[in-house]
Amino acid sequence: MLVTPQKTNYSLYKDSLEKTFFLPNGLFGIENIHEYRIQKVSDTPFYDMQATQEDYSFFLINPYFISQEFELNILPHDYQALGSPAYMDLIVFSIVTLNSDVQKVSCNLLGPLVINTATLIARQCINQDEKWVTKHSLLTGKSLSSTL
Amino acid sequence: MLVLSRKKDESIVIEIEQGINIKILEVKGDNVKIGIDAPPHIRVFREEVIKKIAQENLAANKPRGASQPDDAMLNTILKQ
Repeated sequence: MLVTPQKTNYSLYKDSLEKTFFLPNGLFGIENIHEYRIQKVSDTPFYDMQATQEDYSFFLINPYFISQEFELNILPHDYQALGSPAYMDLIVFSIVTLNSDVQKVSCNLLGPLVINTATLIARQCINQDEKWVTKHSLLTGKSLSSTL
Repeated sequence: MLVLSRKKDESIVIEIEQGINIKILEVKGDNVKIGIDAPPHIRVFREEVIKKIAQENLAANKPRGASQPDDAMLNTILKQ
């Protein structure tokens, strides 16, 4: 199902993200970590997500900032697990993978992080449109990995 | 691994009280179409997709203390 979350309302991000949010299923590959905090990295489009208890941290970015064509197409199961929220309560992030070669800095548009800001429940969903990849170059906007 | 033989339109039930039912819908050459009924809290994935996302998550985990992306890198990205 095609979901239309907040795309540019950064004030909403700022307001909601000062709280801890909960990932009941964790991230794929890091399923045992359930609590994270997000802070805006000042003067950049990046957000800093840190686990509250363990040593895991990530940079995030608004996928609509990276690709104006980005769409969030998730399984109805995922939407229900988020509490079937109003779209205006949803925000979406893409996890950034840094690299010493700036050409290879990428973000993951296949597995976006979706947050229900009303309940602070989050879920890493799988974008059902197979054109999105795990390594989308921030610099060129092109895929750095093969599609599935 | 438990191995069961099934024909088209036959099903497998997992955890009957949870209502998980897997049905063979179509067999064409080496391609099998499977229908899965499961409650919303049961997550069903294609294995290669979650492996790829898990691998990327682990690669994206940054050292604590890397408080923001390198300035030169950031400037290059933002100029695009």
